[in-house]
Amino acid sequence: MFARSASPQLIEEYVNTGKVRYVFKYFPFLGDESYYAAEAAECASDQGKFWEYHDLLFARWQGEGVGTFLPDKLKGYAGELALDTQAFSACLDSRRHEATVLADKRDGTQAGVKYTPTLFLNGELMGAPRDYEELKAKIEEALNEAG
Amino acid sequence: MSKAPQRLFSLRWIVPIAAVLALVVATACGGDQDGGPGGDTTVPPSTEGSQHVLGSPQAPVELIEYADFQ
Repeated sequence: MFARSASPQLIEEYVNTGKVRYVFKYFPFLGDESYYAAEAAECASDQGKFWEYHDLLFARWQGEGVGTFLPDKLKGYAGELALDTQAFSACLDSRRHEATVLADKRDGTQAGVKYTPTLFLNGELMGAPRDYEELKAKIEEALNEAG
Repeated sequence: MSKAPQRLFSLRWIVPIAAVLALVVATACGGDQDGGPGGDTTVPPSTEGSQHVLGSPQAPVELIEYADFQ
């Protein structure tokens, strides 16, 4: 998956150098745990820890529908990051961010997303790069076009 | 004598002009929204979705990733 493998290199080489603006969007499509995880990330974002929680979720991934992203587990991850677990649990249980996650999914669907990861480079659908080198080549091409 | 031919000329152009306008409106309102390869691949801006961004707003390249944590 892109976020687990290529993303750190991308951030170091292109985002931190001001060449690329990276936007993360939710596209849960693999069952209930996908939605729980996305909504939990929004709850972490409420406490200013979205990216830390995002990284932790990808680090904890073990497979599809194996229980890694059930609510109790997600609350435990919040504790690992020293979030306010009471507020986090209340947030997750309330499903208050369901609409945000669904809005991302709707936007993605309308834009042609059918699986993940799917990337858009300057608004153009480029699917999933095979590896970081392929992504890097596309980015360099876009940078050259931008002058 | 000159009024009638002028009105006929105008009426003759109403139908094609209306057809062209209808086509323009239909296209602007989503005539090509299948979203697949070759379709409308521009990501629509969303004010309701999440807002998680890394990097400078002035960066020349924007990369959007749609992801599932699973």
